[in-house]
Amino acid sequence: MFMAYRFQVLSTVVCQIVILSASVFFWKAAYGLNAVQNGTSVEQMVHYTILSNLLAVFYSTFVERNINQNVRQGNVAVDFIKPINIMGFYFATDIGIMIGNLMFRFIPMYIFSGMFFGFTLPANFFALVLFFVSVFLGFIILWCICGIFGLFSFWIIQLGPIGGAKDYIIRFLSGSFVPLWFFPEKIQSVLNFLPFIHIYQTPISIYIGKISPFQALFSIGIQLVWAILMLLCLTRFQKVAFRKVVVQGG
Amino acid sequence: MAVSIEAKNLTKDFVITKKEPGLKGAFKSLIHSEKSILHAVNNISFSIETGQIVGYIGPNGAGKSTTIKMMSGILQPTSGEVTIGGLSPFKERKKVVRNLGVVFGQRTQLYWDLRLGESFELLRRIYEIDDDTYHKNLTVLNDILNIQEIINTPVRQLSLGQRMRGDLAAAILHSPPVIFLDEPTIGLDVDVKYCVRQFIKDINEQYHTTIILTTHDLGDIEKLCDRIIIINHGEIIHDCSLETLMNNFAPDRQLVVDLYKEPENSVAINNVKIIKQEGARLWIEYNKKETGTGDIIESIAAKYPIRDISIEESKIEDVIRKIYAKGEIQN
Repeated sequence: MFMAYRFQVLSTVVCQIVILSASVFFWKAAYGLNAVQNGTSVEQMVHYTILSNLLAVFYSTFVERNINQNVRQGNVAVDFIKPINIMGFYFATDIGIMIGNLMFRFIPMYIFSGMFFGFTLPANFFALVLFFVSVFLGFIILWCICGIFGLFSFWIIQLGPIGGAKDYIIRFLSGSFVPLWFFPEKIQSVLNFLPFIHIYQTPISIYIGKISPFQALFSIGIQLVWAILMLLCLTRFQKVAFRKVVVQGG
Repeated sequence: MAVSIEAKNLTKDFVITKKEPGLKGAFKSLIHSEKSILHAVNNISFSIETGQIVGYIGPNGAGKSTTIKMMSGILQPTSGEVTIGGLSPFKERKKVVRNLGVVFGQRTQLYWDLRLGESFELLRRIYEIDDDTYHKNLTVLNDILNIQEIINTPVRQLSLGQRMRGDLAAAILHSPPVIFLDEPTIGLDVDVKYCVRQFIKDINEQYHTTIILTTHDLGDIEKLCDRIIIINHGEIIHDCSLETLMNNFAPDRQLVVDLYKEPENSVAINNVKIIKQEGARLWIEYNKKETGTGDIIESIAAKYPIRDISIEESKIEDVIRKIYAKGEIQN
């Protein structure tokens, strides 16, 4: 039985390392002989894509799947009979998973990147601190979006493939695959006004020094506003959704 | 006696979408579907005193579980209200469920991948149970449910009976004054069933716990309940003690008399209704309130020597079936 879990951990790390390596090689090839593109050096870009992969394995948003599963099988009943904040309970579950992700995915991938791709900490210690703050806020924004998505289960019971599609759309719009500065300008200006870029691009840009610590403070301010806004949306939406509870299967 | 649970004109409607059969129906329902309203619970009122064990029974789909779910803050009533200890479970869910233990026979509140003991530890933190109470409760539970033998097993490896014992323990770990048991004996063998009944009785006696029990096993009702509420089609049709119900619906009792000698012709005795005669055996039906058993025996014995007698009470199953069937006709 324990073997099953061990195999899952190992295979995930191996898969993620392959994906990470592929994206590093992709960017090195795309840069070719040019050392700088759109004001970003090839080293910065390698760091960017590694960080993007690291964050993707670190962030855990099981909230959506958990709500959907519990609604479909009628287990919401069990959540409701405990004297706890239900969304808080799902949040705590994700934090727990993230601690696991940190140990079993993030750290091995971090060490691998350091050994083979010269991945290093930012020169500026202050930038590292800001990066952590920014990652935290980015996660809150992402988690709220997924939570709101999950709550839709109360109406449509089966989320189906929307969930998976949403994950990729978010990663695309947040500059996780390709940073925003490579997008056409018009699209950039639209995306700048959406919350998605604050999930990946903002913290990563702080880390690689794409934006200065001073600009970073400003970005974190905007992230904070988004995070509060999303939290408000989630709590309001949760109240409406919980009134719709129907327990499936007796 | 203090009132523990009170329901006033409690109603829950569900919107049902109708789907026509077949592929055509499936496409049709994608665009437009006909909706109808089902009154799962329709205007019911009752009040339950502290320390009572109430059997809440009715046929499948009568609205039992829906009522339990409204009482435990899961579903919001469409209209009317229910209070537990004076609080509304939907509006003040967290406060109410802190003093509530709920067991859904068909679900588990234990964590699938964790050992049973770890689930308990988590519950201890959720309910903020202090060490002394926790260990005391665990000892008591161990005596009745023999928890110790399964406490280190992951929940996914437990059998249904073991899991139910775990679930019952989990529901009362925080010593709640009110417990809802939704079909706690479903799918259990006689041994575990006996154990569960004993548990319910013990908890009620020791802690004066108010218990609402829904079940299809009338043995549970017979062994445990002071009072039964029968619901059908979302409405309460009876609310009384089991004894009253039996007296009202099955006042008749059967007496089977074996005679020493087969009578030559059919037996006829004044004031005794013989419903069947087969060889030396007579079946007699009489109202137990109006006629004394001794009187009947006496009047038979006066004419025929009696070898043996036995009395058959009406079965609770038959009575309940009669009541359910009556509900069907009315609707």
